Amino acid sequence: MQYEDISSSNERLDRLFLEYRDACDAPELSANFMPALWQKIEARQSSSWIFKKVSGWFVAVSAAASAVLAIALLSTPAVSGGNSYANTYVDALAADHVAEYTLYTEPVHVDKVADYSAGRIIE
Amino acid sequence: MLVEFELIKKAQDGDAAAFNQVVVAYRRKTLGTIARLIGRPEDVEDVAQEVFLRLYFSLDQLRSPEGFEAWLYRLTVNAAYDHLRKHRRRAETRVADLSEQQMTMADAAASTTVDRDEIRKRQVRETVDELLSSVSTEDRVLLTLKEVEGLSLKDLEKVYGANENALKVRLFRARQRVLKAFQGSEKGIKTGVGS
Repeated sequence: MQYEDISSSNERLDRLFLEYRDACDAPELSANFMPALWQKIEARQSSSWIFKKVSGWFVAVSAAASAVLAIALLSTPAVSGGNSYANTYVDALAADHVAEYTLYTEPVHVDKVADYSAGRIIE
Repeated sequence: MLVEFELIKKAQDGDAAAFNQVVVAYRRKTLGTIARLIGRPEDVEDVAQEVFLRLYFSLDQLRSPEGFEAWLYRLTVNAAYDHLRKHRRRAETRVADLSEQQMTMADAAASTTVDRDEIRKRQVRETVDELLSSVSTEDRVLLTLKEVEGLSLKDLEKVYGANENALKVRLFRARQRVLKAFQGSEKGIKTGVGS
């Protein structure tokens, strides 16, 4: 009984789909169909042309900027002490302390200091 | 095929006259398919223009002219998806805005100007539209292509690029859901809920 009910529902649904097919016949084409289509195509073509133009301009500018940066990097002299990696730690330390040795080259003089509290001069 | 392969090749190469001829050859068929897929005659032409617009800009991606019809079907299906998704959102608000009295008045006005056949067709479209809303947009389109448009599983395989068995399963499930909704609507009419 239930199977028959489903089967007849299936048939009625098939008939409804067929009726729907007839009810959805293609509408008459308007005379404006082709001109409107070509207008849309041209509008999209021009917008994509502008996009291509702008993106091409950006690519050119970024390529030029990269080239300028590369030239600038290549023409800049290498940072002094380029061979510093080859030096040993002791060499580096010695180089850093050269200033200390050169500052105190004179012998130290011990001047006479007056001991006022005692009223005499200490040598 | 409604046109020669040569014509499609020329259109692919950017020949505007050839493209024009392809559109003229296929526009009637495409309009019919769209009408059945979306069920709204007033929107068919707009969707068809979108299909041919997409065709124009994607024709160079078509590998061989032999696959042209399946390609055109695919574009039609995608444009119909987009339209149905938009329409689904609009329909929810539009029906809710009308009161029952307004609906009765609109129907009465229609019966005076439009003949009975047209009213019957509109009723059928609305009934099927309601039934198909019980499945997803994708299943709606698939089911319409099979049941209404009459495409075979082999044709659907080409259009969707999917396995025949997977399509069978999807079709069966979608049909079962629609059948359930159909039985429900019939019961509603019998008991006077839908009237």
